[in-house]
Amino acid sequence: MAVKQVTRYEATDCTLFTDERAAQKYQDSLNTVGRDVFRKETFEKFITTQLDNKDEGLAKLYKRLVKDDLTFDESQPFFERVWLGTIKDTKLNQQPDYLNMLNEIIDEEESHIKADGVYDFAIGLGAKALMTRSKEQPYSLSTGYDGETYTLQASPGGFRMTNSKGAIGTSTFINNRWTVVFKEVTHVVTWQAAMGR
Amino acid sequence: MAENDGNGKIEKVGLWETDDGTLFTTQSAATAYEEALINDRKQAQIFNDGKKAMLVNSKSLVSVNPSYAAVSGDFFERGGVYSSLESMIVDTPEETKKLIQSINGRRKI
Repeated sequence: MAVKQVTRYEATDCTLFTDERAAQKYQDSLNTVGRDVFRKETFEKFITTQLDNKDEGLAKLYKRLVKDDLTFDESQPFFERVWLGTIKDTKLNQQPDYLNMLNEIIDEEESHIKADGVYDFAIGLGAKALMTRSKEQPYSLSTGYDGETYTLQASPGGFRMTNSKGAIGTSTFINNRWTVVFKEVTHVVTWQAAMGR
Repeated sequence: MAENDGNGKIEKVGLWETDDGTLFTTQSAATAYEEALINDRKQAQIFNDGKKAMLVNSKSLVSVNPSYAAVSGDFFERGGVYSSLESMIVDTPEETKKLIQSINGRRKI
């Protein structure tokens, strides 16, 4: 009896699907969970920083916030204080801090790459390859796929993918993944933090 | 003040008065105080404009995420400020960014 070749669609957690749409739906749910975790972690990190704030008044305010000790009628003064500061002491105005945190969350595709660590990258349905960030150098990966060799470089700000002929793909970030288009070929680039490494 | 021996006379003195009626013996002190007053008024105006934008725009976002009601203190649970803030940041970060930017009049929601 001869073996036969089959096609499966693999999500980033290695789950296999026979149906592409089912795989995509599952992957989207994984991405949603990953995004929410990232956002919550970013928020919690911000609050932790505020608890260590050099301004004693602000630190106390955030301690009460975390303890859920701010009553609803203190809610408006809280936002006035952290987003507007006070008339006499505008250094308490934390608009820039909040905007920085929100930018980090909104531009999460960039932040994922900014994060130190080790990532598994894959081009299309190609095999996953381990990429390690080296200081400020971009992640770099060359992989063969569909009879062509592609080189992917990921750095803060986005992806750059070239083929062996030196052509640069046009990349767009949609739904937590990069779609890279070469003349007649479209590739989807996925990545995830490599667990346990 | 000299001791009054019963023959005291009034003396005409030159003073410097600021907008709010405060008197100073020197012009420089009065001017410094006046400048501080003007600066305070400007700061108060900035604060009030920002506050108004923050409240109006947060109310318009309640239909997107009920947590924005906390910004105007217009919600009815005890506490919950932390979870409201978390929801604004985690669930609707784009809207929250626009809201904070609107405080400085940079962008209307």
